[in-house]
Amino acid sequence: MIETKKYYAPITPSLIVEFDPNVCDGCYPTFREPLCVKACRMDILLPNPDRSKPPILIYPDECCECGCCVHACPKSLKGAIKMNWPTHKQPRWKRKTTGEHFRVGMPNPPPPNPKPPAGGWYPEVKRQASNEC
Amino acid sequence: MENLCVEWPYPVDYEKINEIETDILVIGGGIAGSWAAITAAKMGGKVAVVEQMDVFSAGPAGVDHWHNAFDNPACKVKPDEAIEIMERYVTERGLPFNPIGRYITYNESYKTLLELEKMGAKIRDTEDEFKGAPFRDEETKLLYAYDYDVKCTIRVWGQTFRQALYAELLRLRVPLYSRIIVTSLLTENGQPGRRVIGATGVHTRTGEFYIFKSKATVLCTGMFDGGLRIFGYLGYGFYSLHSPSIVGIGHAAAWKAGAEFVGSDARFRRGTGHGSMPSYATGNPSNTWHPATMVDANGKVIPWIDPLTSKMLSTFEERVNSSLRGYKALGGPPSWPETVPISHAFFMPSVFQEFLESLKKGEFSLPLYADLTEMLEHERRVIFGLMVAQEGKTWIVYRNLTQAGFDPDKDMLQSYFLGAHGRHLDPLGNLFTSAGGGLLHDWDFKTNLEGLFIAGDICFYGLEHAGASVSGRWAGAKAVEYAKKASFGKIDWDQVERERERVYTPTKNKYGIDWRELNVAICTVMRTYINDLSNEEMVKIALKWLDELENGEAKKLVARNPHELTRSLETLNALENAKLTAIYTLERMRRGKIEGMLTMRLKSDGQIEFRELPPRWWLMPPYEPTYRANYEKHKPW
Repeated sequence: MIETKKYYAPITPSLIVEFDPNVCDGCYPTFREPLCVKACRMDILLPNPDRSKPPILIYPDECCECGCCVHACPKSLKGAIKMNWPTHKQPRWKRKTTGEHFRVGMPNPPPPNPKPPAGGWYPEVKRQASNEC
Repeated sequence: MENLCVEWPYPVDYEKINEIETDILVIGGGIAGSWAAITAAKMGGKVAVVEQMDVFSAGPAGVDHWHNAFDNPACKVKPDEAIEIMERYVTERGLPFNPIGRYITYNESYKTLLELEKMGAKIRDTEDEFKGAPFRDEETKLLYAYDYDVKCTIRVWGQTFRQALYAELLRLRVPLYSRIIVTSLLTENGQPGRRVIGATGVHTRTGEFYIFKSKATVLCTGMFDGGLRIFGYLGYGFYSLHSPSIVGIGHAAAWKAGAEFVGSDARFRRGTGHGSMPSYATGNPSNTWHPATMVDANGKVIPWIDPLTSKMLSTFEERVNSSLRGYKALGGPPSWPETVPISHAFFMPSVFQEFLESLKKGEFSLPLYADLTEMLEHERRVIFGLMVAQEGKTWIVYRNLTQAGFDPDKDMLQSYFLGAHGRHLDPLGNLFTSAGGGLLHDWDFKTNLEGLFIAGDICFYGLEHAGASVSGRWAGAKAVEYAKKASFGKIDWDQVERERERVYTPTKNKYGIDWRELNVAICTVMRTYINDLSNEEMVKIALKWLDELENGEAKKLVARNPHELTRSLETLNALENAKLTAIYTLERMRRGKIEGMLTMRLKSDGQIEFRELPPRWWLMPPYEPTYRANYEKHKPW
């Protein structure tokens, strides 16, 4: 029997891509490959050996923060996946009337602003998400 | 080991060789590459795409404003006037530009956008959310940007563009070879300067080797960012709007194949306020957030100025209506400089250029904020709710900011810029980038190498999104014409073997260094020795150091899986590009002021040849004497 060499990738603790295992089903069995894995431009998400579980993040320092993984996720608006900017890259803002300072990722954040983008989160377009090649 | 590593889920085989034959090979499946492949397929060409990422999300892919639509019926400036103004502007200021790519884009931009709409992309305010806004054309429901008088830039739902192109590629059944990094171009006899007959690549998940044989090749691999890229969160300087793979994969491969380059010097342009913060999440007033009101820490408004007259603008309307700034005869023949039409494509007003001086005098107080709260509802909405939210790659900015509670009706977003195109609040945000050098091409988007066409940002001095689309269409059509008359070349197997030996070296090294260390070393050499203070001696030291890296540390890279191999290959490409940037910069320094453009190529004997092209070479024989005549002569449809 031919022995196949095994290969590995190191894991680094990181929340830059964060999954909710109660919502994410690894796109199983709808898609051959989880759509976040397919969309990832840096290829730093690996499909979970248990396909119905969330993908695994490797090499988090390579994340380019494009958010393609969140955008491609069929359950993104239900919170299956989040892309969190690393701590030193969290944008800040000031409320004009009160002078309060805020940042993304702060403890006790204000409530979300529920307004969707102009034209909706996902404007109608011929969406193709299959793996045909 | 459970939490320290994960088993590689894909089968790995560094020995396997796959051979693929296609009449037309498109390298890079981003915007330009997708358009090239779609156009070639529609014209009956047998075409395939090879892409390092998945074509599903490849390329910069996002876009908030469709530029240079001088061919749209509402535009007050016609393509021939636009090119005249542009050429005069850049010539007077000694700035580089791509006259061929620009003129073709000026004539094809809007037509291309309509083609995209047919594929399913959204370009109109069909929900009537912006009804009555001054930037909206009520009949067509198009939304214009930046200059509401000239109307040459159109606000779009960019997130739909990548998807529409992908859907069209699938519909046309174009073979898409995703997750393959192209490592070299194959040439006849394996020599630089000969006809391009294919390419080699490595699969980024399985590590398998690929040989593509083609009659015509279209290189669409984007720009090279000057060897300055260090990954975002541990380092700085990389920002996410550009394709992550802008390490010059196509540039390095084309250089070794003997392609002629122009403008490869370091341009010493400062970072434009993106720096280490997420792009477009910080209220940059010069681009997507234009023309947001900028205020200082005490709420004092920072004035906007007209770029040519330096006149301070007192009203919001003056920022977006060139006629209110005293520019006459819009749409008429321009008589410089009194009747210059203003547009984003040319010279939009900017926030106070001398801001830094005023700051030092105590006239303003840091930090600064983009304050949309006082702007009219539709202006606020169109910046944050459309330009940011629907751009594509900044969809996540809207998502993350609103989820975190940011509300543009009440909140002011902190900005990190310190004057237009000036310094960044975080000193590390101030970086130098390349001049946008790229491959020289003719009116067919063909390079000096037989069989090699290019499109998009790899073209000298680059082309933006609309330009990438237009040049992709043009080059795709020209590649079909070429492939009809061409045959497959004979692969030089020695060239293939040399390439295999080179690319798999990191997999054979057991001890050595990670690609990150080499990457940072290259970036450090480039930033330290090639900047606005450097001289010939500095550049020579840089070249010596880069040579040493190439013959030393570069041979010690260790790749433990195909992913690390891919990053190692990218880093080797960055090294190749850093070297050619340094070589070109040194030659420019030696020559001093030159009238035209300096080109550079690798000859078959290994020597580098420099050539000075005369001013306006693009309107000299063998080309026609006018822009219009060249356009008509070379137009593929």
